[in-house]
Parts: sequence; structure tokens; C-alpha cells
Amino acid sequence: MEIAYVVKPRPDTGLWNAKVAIWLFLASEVMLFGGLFSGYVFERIGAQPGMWPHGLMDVRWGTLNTIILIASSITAVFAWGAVKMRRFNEYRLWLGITVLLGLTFLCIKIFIEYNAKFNHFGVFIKQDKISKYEANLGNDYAAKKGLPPRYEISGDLEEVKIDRTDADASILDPLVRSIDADAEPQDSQGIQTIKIKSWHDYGALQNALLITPGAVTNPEEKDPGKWVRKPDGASLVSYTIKMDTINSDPANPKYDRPQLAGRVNSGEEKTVKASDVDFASYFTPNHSTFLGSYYLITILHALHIVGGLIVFTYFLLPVSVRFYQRDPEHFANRVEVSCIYWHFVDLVWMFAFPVFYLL
Amino acid sequence: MSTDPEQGAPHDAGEVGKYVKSQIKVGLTLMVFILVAVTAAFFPVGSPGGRMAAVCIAGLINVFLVTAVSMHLKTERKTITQFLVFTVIFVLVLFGLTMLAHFDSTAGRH
Repeated sequence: MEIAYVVKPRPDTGLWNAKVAIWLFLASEVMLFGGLFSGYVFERIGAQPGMWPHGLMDVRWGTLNTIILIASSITAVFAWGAVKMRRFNEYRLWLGITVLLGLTFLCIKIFIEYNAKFNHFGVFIKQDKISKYEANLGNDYAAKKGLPPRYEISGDLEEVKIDRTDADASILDPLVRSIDADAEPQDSQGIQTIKIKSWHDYGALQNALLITPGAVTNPEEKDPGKWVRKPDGASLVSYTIKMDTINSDPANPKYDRPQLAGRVNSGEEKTVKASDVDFASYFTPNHSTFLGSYYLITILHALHIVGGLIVFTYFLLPVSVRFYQRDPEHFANRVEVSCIYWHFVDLVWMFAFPVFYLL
Repeated sequence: MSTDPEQGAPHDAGEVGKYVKSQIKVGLTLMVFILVAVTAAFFPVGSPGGRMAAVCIAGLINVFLVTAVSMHLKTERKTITQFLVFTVIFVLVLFGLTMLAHFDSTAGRH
């Protein structure tokens, strides 16, 4: 049975099937992203003054990625134009370039932008301890320049010091061995220094410090497998961070807008007492509402890119060549709706880029 | 690979060429406005509010160009614009609810 209106438009609507389908799909997508962006706006305008993170994004990579995505939209249109003119080899060339540009966008996002954030650590200093870290936060300078206050010292987490007891050995020692961390023996006061190599090692250590070994085997515990928060015992004493330049030289006007300068490591080490820290985290979704929203929306956007790339790659396979030979106009329509989808992916990024990188 | 290029060749080749050229112009304009937005955001002149407004205006022009020209909504059939109106209403109501929640005078109560 032949399906009607796959090439010729339906007389009453003037549209062929796929055109209606893609626009209905995109309408639902607008509502999905609209919900996410409105949630972001709600969080942003409701944030306490000065508590919204600034300068966590690297605008240089963001701008480059935006230009790459726009270029891929142009090459996708070239591909559609070529297939409309029945220049199949040209079509394959332009679509291949589109796929490469899409992959470049993803690589920059995953291997450069996300990777840099997942290896970056920050400690938020308690409000009443801020003056103690003035040399690294530069709030006097920020106030003079009308910049938002700074609460965070960021950089590469080098090591943590832990105050531990012998009872913690059953949890901490196997963990330190399993993450292959360099752990120094305890000093005379029971403090142990552990070198941190990656964000997941820190996460594992943090989890270990929140459980008590006794709870796992305690027969009186109703649920013997349950992990409970440790009331006392091992705890973090300090974080040693190789600071970003914004914290080693906070009064430098270059860092008034850190997005442009990027987060560059100064190599200068700073030890921050855990008791002075309100919250500590790698630049993961756990870090802040801002980064949580950023990862949610940009990963969802990246998944849309992956979807588009799968479709474009399918259009380059031999099965699509046969389809083109059988019915070129039907094939051109399919390429057209894919291009409309690709432009939509571009459109979402047109919102996401200024929202996360510029405002 | 031979694919019989003359098979079903379109009669509107000129139009296709014109459309592709218009897309190049749109793409280049988008890139220019992206650079304008980045410059506006970080150029140390004017108030932060003014810079924010400039970024928003550049962003809105880009959004208009992509939807109206690249996705050819400007010349699309009425059927599509009609049901997209409902989508726009949905999104506007959603943002309106966000604003209502923000300005809710009972903030802080649970």
C-alpha cells in the first residue's frame, strides 16, 4: 500500500506528512526546553544577591562552539540544496562536513568544557570567615568596582587532611588502596594526608567519611546494610588547592570578568581549613544550581545533536543511496525535515549560549 | 557513485540556489550577532543592565533569523503557524507562572 502525501502536499493543508510531523515534534520540544529555561529563570532571579556563580564558563570555547554549530547549519542547507539539484556527490560531501562539525561541537563540549569542569574544585567560604581569606577573594576590590562578592576559592584539589581514629581503618584504608591514592601515614595527632587524583576519588572519600563502620555489622541495627551518617570520628581537616589565578591575584582587573580570562591555574597552593568552609565540590552538577541547570540543559542539547548526527549518518549509508535512486524528491523531503530539526538544535543553543555564558 | 543526477531534476533549481544563498547570508549574520553579543557582554562601557539588554537584543535577532528564515517559518503554511501559536502561548504562560511564583508574597512559608 502506498502512503499518501509523502512527496506531494495534501491539497487542504498544503503540507506533506513529514513536514507536519517535524513541526508537531518541534512544538513539543519547544515546550520541553521552555519548561527547563523557565525553571532556570526562576532559580536565577530568586538567588540571594551575590550568591549566583559568575565566571565558571569559558566564553572562548562557548563562542567557538556556537560558530561551529551555525556553520553546520549552513552546510546542512548546502546538502539539501545539492540533493534538490540532484548532485548526489556534492550532497554527500556537505552532509559529511555537517556530521564532522556536529562531532567537533560534541568533542569540545565533552573533552574540553565538561572535562575542565569535572577536574576543577571549589570551596565556598563561610560568610563569617570571608575576611580571613581576603587576599584570595578580593572582596574589598570587588566592592570598589561594583562587582558581585566572591565566596569561592577554586582550582585543582591537591590533597585533603583527615582526622581519623583506628576505628576508621576498616573503611578508609581499603578505600585509599582502591583509589590508588598517595596516603601518608598518620602524624602524631592522628591526621592523615591523602593526595586526591580525581573528582570521583574525592566523592568516594567524602562518602566514606559519612558512614560508620559499626553500622554495617551492628546486629541491633534493623537494616544491617544501611549506611548511617557518622556522628563523630574521621572528618576532613583541610583542603589544599592549587588556586586559579582569580584567587591568587584577585585584585587584577583582568579577572573582573573571569569568563574571558578563563580559569587558569596559578600553581600557587592554598590550604583552607574545613571548619571555614560552607560547602566544597568539584564543578559537577552538585556544585550549584547554576551548574546543575547548565549540565541538564546542555547535556539534553548534546543528546539532540547526537540524534541529529545519527539521522545524518543514516542518510550517508548505502541504504539511503538506494532510497535516493528510487525516489529523489521523497529523499529530498526527508533531508529537508532533518535540516529543520538541525536548525532547531541551533536555535536552542542560541538561547543557551547567552543564558549560561554571557548573562 | 553514479546516482543518475538527471532523474527527477527539479524545475526550480534557480530558486533552490537563491534559497541556499540566503542561508549563507543568514549564517554569517548569526555569527556577527554572536560576536556582537559577546562583545556587548564584556565591553567595559555602559551599565551592566545596558550590556544585558544588548546581549538579549542580539540573541533575539538571532532567534528570529533562525526561526523565520532558516526554518522558513516566515513562508510556511498557515496550518503550522496556527498550531505553533498554541506552543508560544504555553511557553508564555509557563514563564508567567514563574514570575507569579517569584513575586509571591508568601515567600519563605512552607
